[in-house]
Amino acid sequence: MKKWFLPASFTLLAVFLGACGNETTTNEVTSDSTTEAATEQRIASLSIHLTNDLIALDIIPVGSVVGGSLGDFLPQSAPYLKDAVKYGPAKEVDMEALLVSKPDVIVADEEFATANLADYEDIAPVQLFDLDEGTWRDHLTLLGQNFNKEQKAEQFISDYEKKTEEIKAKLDEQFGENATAMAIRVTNKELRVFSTARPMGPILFEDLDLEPANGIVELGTEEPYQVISKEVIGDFDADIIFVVVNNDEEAQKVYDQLTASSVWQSLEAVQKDQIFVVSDQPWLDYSALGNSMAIDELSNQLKE
Amino acid sequence: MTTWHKWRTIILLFLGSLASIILAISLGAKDISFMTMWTSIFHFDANNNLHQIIYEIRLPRVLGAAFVGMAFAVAGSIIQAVTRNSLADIGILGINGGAVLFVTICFAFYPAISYGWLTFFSFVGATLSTILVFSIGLVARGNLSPLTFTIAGAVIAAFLHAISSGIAIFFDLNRDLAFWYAGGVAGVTWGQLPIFITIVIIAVFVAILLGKQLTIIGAGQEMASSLGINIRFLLFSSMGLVVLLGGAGVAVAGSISFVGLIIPHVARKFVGHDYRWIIPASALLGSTLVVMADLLARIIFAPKELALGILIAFIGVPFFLIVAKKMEGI
Amino acid sequence: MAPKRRNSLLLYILVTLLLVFLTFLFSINLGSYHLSLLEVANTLVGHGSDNSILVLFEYRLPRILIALVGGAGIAVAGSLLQSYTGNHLADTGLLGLHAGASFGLIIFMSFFSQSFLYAEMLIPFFAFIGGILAAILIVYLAKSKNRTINTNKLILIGIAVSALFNAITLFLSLRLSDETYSFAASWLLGNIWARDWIHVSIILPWVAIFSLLAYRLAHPLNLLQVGDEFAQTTGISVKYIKNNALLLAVLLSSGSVAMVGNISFLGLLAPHLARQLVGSDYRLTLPLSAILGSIILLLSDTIGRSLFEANPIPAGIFVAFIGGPYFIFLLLKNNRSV
Repeated sequence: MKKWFLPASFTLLAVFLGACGNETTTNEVTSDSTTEAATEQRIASLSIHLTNDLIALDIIPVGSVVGGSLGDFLPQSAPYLKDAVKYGPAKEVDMEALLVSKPDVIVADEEFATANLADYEDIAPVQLFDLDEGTWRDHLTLLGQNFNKEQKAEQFISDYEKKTEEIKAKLDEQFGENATAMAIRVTNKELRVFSTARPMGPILFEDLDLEPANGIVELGTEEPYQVISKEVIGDFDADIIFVVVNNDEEAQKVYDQLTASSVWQSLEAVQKDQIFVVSDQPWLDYSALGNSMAIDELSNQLKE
Repeated sequence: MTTWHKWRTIILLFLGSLASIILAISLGAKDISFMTMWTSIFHFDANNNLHQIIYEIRLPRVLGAAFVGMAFAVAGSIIQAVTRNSLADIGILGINGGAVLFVTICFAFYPAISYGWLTFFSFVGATLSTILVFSIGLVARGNLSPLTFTIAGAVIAAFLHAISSGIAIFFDLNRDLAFWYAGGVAGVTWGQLPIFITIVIIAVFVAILLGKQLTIIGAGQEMASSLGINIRFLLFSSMGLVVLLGGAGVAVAGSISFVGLIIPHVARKFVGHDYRWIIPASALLGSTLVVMADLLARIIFAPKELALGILIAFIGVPFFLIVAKKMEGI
Repeated sequence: MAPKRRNSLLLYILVTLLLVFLTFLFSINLGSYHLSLLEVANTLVGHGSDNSILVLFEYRLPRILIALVGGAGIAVAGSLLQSYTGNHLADTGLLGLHAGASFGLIIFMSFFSQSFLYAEMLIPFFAFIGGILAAILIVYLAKSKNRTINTNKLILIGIAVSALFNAITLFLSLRLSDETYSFAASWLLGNIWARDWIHVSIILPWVAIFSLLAYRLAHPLNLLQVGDEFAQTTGISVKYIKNNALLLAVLLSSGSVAMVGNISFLGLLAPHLARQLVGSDYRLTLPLSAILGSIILLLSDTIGRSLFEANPIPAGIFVAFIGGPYFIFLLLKNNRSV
């Protein structure tokens, strides 16, 4: 019981402080009922992205699935989930761990949870979300409605819009209004170029309002990225290049590759030093928390 | 088939291989004219963007493909002769398994390791697993029965794979590891090429010199010893060649299946059963196959790239079925 | 069967069943939901709380049963394959049957993996089709012009076909999405993913029926051991028996592998241990290797989950860890005696 007490009380405190800032009394009343509902409900999340949407709403789930190849919580959410139970990867949920966490309600991604729905429903009622439908804002709003956090959801989204507006302005100022961008990932064998689809597409080309570089739209929206010949990297003619890396070591290797190759060196974005090396998490986590942290990371880089 | 015929075939295969290399350098996702390609090679201009692309991306990739194909095909020929198993390939020596194990260990304990050192350690791993499989094959009365040898290789490969997977799971290594050992020549750099090409050329020439003995041993060891061939010496030297060729090939490009298995059979179709001819023919055919397959991988859906391994599998599977069907009993 | 041998068989079966029971006890106590021994015992005899009933009967028991049954299935399949090839080193994993099943799984994952109700039921189906495909391919390729099968050639072709399927599987798996890839990858390493009663209700009758059919072949298989010619003189149809043995091996192995993942070396390990204990009479080795297969797989799964709680190691890795060196040992020993 003590395990959830700390995060829950923090949640309570946060919501309470948030409520204090409100002006009208009617709002305060709703917030109070929110507080109670939030502390009462123990939520289990069977999707890493929903987990991060919940965290964005100041709801700490009692447990969550982990990233498939990571075998752990995503680094951006791990600090919030110190006391949360790990359910294993979404395709193989550890039912006992789920039961141990005594959830009142389970939130899950339709894609993975449909097959075992009956088993989950034996433990607690399940709320299914189609994460391919709509944006994270829609998922966040929906979660907000379901858990009496509508206000927090609205506030988070408007905070996010405000943040991105600032970054957008900075980007416009530094790189011009119609700056084009692309995001890539480099391994020792392949060059992967991200399409306009999730996870990189929406944040770059919608939220930050950058223009997709030549040929990015043509990559289609079926896959998050395509393997592309290194020869044509210049043809994309991007003003800004986001290089997604796994970790510091990989960043170093990518950097070595960048400086070693004259084809890279001759890219305009490289010559003008308009390269952002960003980490795969939070950037590839399409969720409220993920995108928000990605924006923060970018904001820090822009300051430097 | 007269010697003159064989010489003619080899020259034709050489021209074919050369033509495929020139074609592969001329074509690619980036549209570059033949003249530009020509000047970029003979009058390289460091400031010309197209020259940079040819010189830095296409040339090492095509040369890499040519010599990787050559290495795997010749290694395959040697193994098929020594083991007298016409379905043998370098995979049978656990070469890939050893390489992957060492790369996994590097990733687990020293993730910051550079690509250069990874290549080196992958070569070391390949060598060690070959020695292991080879000595197991040898311990049995100094005799390499095709069956024992093949089974030993398959078992060692499976065992090494299990160990690397265990380490990978325990240390949370992600699938980049899988990308490391999936085959492809897109990552070949000039830094790797001089050593790699030297190794391959020397090994192929030594293999041709051993051709006569390989032909005899391929026909049966009893006959070989009755003809006064030092079997142990031959086995050791040919395994050394296989390690050099296969290990270097895997280190540069990862594992590319089917090349070493199919090409020797195609070579036999062209030049008969004498390994003095099979080896050069395999070398040329192997390089042509990989260069052309990689070219296709680059241009079918350009600028998207397909996985080289899948493409070779598509060409390789039908051949494999024909070869396997015709295989003689042992 | 001499009475003395019958007694020793009984003893072995009793001892191994006791081992199964001990492994079972250990495994049933293992899991994230803490249950004391007393609670387990109470629940097993029908006095459990709702949660402990759920944990024991819905989560743990089906998984344990699947491990036991799958292990038995693979072991019996290995025995049959060794008899079919006349080679004691034959293993369903080594000879390409598992690689075929893996290929089936990866085809499913790559092209049909949208989640819908009972989608998982298709995994055994696809794995099974893949296994059959590999078996047909191997036998077809190994058949010579006069329609006889050279078993050495069969083994070489099996290993080559295995490499062929594995190569394609590796490349297809790299194109999967992250979650699907991690599931496929752990399946390929021998991870017991099936854990529902519905899976038990498929695999249990499957393995039980085909194992019983296999047991009916025990006597003719004994005759085959002496030699095909000898068996022929006793009036049995060698070809018929062998074909049946192969078919059963494929049915048992692909059915089991579909549920417990790609477990190599088990089909070799269990029959060999059984032979070490009771000799070469198939009437004894078949049931004993089934039990040993069950123990080995359940134990490997249990160890993998208990020793490495954060990152459970798939059972197949442990089996390979013991099986690989044992295989090499057999290879060396066999060759000296030849």
